[in-house]
Amino acid sequence: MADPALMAPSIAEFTAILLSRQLKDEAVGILGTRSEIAEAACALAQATHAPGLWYMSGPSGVVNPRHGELRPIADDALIQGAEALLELSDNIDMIDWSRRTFDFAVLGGIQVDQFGNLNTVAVGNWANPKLRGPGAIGAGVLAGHAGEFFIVMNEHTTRNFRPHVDFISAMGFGRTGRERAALGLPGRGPQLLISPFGVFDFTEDEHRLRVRTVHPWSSLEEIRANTGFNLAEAADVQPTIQPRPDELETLRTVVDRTGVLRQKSGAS
Amino acid sequence: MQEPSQIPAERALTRRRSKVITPADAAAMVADGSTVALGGWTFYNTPMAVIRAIIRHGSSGLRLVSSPGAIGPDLLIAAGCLAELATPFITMEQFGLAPAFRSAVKDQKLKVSEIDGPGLAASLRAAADDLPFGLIHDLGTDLPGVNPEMYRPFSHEYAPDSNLLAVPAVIPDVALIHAQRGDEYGNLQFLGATFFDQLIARAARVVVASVDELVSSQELTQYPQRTKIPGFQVTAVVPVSHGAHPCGSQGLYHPDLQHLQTYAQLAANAAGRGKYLGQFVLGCADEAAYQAAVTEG
Repeated sequence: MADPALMAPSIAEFTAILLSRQLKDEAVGILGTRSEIAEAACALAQATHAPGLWYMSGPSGVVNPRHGELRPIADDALIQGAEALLELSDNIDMIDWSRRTFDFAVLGGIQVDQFGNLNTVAVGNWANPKLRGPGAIGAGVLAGHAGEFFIVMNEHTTRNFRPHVDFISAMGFGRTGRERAALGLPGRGPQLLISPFGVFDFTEDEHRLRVRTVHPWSSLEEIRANTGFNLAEAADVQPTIQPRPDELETLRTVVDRTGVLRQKSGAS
Repeated sequence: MQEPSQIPAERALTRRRSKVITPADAAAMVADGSTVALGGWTFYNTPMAVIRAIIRHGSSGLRLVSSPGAIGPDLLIAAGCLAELATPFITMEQFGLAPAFRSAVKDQKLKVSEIDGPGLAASLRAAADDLPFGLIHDLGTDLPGVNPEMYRPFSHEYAPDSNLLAVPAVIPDVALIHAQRGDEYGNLQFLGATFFDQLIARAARVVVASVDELVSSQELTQYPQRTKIPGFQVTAVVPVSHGAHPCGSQGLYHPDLQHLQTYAQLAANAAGRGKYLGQFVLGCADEAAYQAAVTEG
């Protein structure tokens, strides 16, 4: 068998490694359902540069599972060996009200727009949608209250990168880019977006999505062609710094031993 | 005060009341048109045996206030039991969007009360606390626009600079939850996560809990720390081995992913939903027949 660390990363592994680099030591994060990439990023950060990072499963209340295999975040397999198992009926204080518990969250959606607003509810008209999504989840409060949040988009097309999302279920910077400040939300909002084509942040003044780096298999032209609005572009757009062999090896041997991300395509 | 010798014999020998009932009894406790709260979380701890009994019972017009669910709420939609659904999300996880939900929204056969986590938590907590409404922070979402009944503008002289919303209390008529173990007095033990179940139990007027294992009081009291919901909050206990199937029961058994995938595929259209309901719910007289149907595949 070939050395698994020598195999090229899948897009999901690539994304998890990029995200892990953003997570700071001692930071406290919260993860929701269907978040294997975020789960991997947290565990990888703990195993590398952020040993004091904390992350909690929103649904199950598991804290720091250190399981070695990626499981659905609500799964009871994560309980054994975790540092805590809390009760959601109590955790709602931290999740749904507190403005100071979580330093970061990782969110996604069926649509994102130029101001980092996310939609998980419906494409088209809410009352008679073209595509009905799963619902608002609890993402709006994490987007509003976590110190910062990261957006992971598994697809990047003109269909899901919209000028304005059809329904704001989690607010980035709002309809005009200024609503966060107007509402007095404490968090800094979306700080980074990772798509299968590149890494993006938001401009300081207008809070518009801006290209930072381009993944090695993509190009600025491809990103522009697949985005449904005019992107800001950093003065010096660089190639994305690729996963190092040691990051990939740790991901595969410590975090994701059964290869959940290895087998996962980007467009899940 | 009565002397011991004066206490009538039948009173001295009174037995502590058992709360054990069958799934069919439980279904009969859910009146048409009532507000029902559902516990568990997507593929875990969903009281499926009771849901199947409700479908067999033919309940209709229910308003379901649900923890994030999967096949539990979706099957109730498929069977036409629901008039309204209020839940933060509904999903078949890796098997895609909830098929009956999606179809009912498309055909406009279901009223959706669009809520998020804070909306659900605030409405149930207000109910548990006997307050008329709860307060949440305004997070700038579009929820108040599509659900003005649940997300109401709120201002108060005590907090002139806060942006708050009031969420009315939602008192469930009946809560349906599932625990791994319980005794006949309604004490419920959880061997994994509890999800929203404790809050739901505090909020509802009537609490019906299915348990995989009905254990003796003696056995249960060996581990009182596992009792997460005390019997005084529980109206009835429904013992059903594998009562959460095809969902998992945390600490006892995993979700039956093959069965869940079969449901997700079948329920994509009306004919398939009818087939599933016939094969696994309406065509099964009781849970024993259901388990046999599952084994036969």
